[in-house]
Amino acid sequence: MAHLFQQILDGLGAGALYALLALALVFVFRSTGIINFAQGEMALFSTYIGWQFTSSGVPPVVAILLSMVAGFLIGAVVEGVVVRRVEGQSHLTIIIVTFGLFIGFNSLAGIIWGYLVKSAPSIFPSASWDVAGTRISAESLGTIATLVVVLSVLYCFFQYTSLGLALRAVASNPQSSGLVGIRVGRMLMIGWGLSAALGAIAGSLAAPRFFLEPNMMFTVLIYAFAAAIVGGLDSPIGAVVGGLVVGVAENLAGSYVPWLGSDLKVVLPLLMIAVVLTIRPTGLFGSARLERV
Amino acid sequence: VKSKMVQEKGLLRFNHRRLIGIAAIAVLVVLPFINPPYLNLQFSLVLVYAVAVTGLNLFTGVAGQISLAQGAFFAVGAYTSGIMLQRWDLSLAWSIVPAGALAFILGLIIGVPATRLAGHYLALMTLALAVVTAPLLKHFGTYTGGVSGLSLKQPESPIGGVANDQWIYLLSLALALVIFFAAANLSRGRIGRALFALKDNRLAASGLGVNVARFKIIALGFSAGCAGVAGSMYAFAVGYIAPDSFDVLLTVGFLAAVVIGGAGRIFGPIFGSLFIVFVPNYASAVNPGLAGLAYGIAIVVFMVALPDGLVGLLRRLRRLIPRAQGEAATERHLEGRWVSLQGEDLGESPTDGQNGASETMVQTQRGTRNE
Repeated sequence: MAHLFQQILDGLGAGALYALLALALVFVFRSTGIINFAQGEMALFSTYIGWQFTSSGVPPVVAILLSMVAGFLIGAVVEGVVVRRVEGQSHLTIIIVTFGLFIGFNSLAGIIWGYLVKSAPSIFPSASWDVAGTRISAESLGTIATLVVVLSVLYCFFQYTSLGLALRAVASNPQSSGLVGIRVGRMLMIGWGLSAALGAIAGSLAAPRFFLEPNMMFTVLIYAFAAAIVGGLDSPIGAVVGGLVVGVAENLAGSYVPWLGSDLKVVLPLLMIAVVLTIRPTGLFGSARLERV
Repeated sequence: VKSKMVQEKGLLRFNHRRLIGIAAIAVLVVLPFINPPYLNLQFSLVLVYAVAVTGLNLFTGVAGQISLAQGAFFAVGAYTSGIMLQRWDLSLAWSIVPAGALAFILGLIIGVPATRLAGHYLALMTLALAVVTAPLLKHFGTYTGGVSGLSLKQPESPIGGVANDQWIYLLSLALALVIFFAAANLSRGRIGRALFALKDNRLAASGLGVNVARFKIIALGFSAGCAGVAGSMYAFAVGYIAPDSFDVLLTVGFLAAVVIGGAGRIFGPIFGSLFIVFVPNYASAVNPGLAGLAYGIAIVVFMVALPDGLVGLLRRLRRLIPRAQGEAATERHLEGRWVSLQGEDLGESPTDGQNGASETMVQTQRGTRNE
């Protein structure tokens, strides 16, 4: 029983990480209707920038904040320079462009920082506490706490600030928002920037766990996609719940389905995506989208 | 009288095109006897990739569906041949057909859920497939040779005076021509028109009686089959396969090749494949990441600035040369077979259901702009 609790707790720690990146995916999807396949690689790039600061002596917490700023700028620039030009075109075009960004950011990170694994310091102490046979690590607890803080900040931002209100307005109806004087283009840039900053948190927390190298975010992205799909692509709550579900499922499968070894674990989110899309394409909390005929 | 003249002109034009085609094939056949062996291998790879890209072009460029699983199907083909050769010592001819068939069947199987998924969901599923390919190959090491991969006996030339590298090139050329004509016929016929309709407007297509699901499955099956035979030929041409050759970069490379050549253009894959063979060659000498960066930049720049690719660019350049109007009309008519208007899939529009009227307006505007 203690083992089960242990696995669930560890799963929640990893799940909080997936939830953060899934949130970024969901925000982009809600505001622009685009699934940003480059989200993980943009996060990777910001994480590397943070790592660069840490390696030159900046304290890790400050480095994460700086990587978030970098992430925000990357997201805003990508939206303003690239995505803006294909907005409103067919989904095919937009998705292919985000794949171009995906491979571009990945390779650029490889060119700048090399393909050797870099160790990134964790912002959390390596301490752990023993509670009734279950080991609670500061890292798991810290990751979950980060998620809670981020969620509270986002909630307050979207509910109580005029910028948050404008962002919500643009997400729900861009044309009408434009008519009442909201600068839609600028809001979309800010939206992409915020998502990329969220991604930067996810990347920075993932770096000490998975070791920093250019392909680090591939699997994290797949898990985050699974989280977003399970929760429903247009639901932030869904992204969080989905992330936690995926994280726990990953850990449980890792310890109770032995043939699934660590190398094949990545098949699990694939299966979850396939099952959810086949049975309930809107996910747990997503809203159904009507087709006009 | 006038219509007869146009017809004659069309006929002449057709012959003229056929002549160019025959001359091009003749040049391609002679090429390996002029080029040094290492270039023969490179051009064999161009042809092999062109086969896989032609398949993807039909699925992405013509039918407007996104697949990143092309690398996975390519790997299926390569490993089917690799494993068959390892176990039973078969010749190329005996393993390339099962390799294509297996990939074709897998394509159909994946096509079944794929027909329920549109746009980004399909991209997502196939991306996940691309990511799991290498780990799966490593996991089943008893069959696939694990990380160290498989070495294959390359086909030997049965004709005296034709070296092995030249023979491999000629085999690749034969395969490429077969697939090229198959794809050309497929997209010209009933299936092709149904696929174009699928891209332009899924709902309208289904309203006009196109069985959307069936044609999507067929297109994915054909596309996967192409990747399968290409993978098999790749294994023979290179003589060695390992999981890391079938990474995400390969599958994104196929997508890049479609985009660079020109989505939906029948000659596009040749240009695209030249790019994904030769650019990484020079780029990786400078930095291992440079090839990927080149792919990324090329994809973004082409999608933003040149959505109809190099072939489209060449066409536009040719149109700058003034000529008789009748000829231009024929040209446009012919072009219509390959290029469709970039219509938007109404069913997936993010603003669906809220402002149908303005949406239709936007669409009309876009339609006229593209004309």
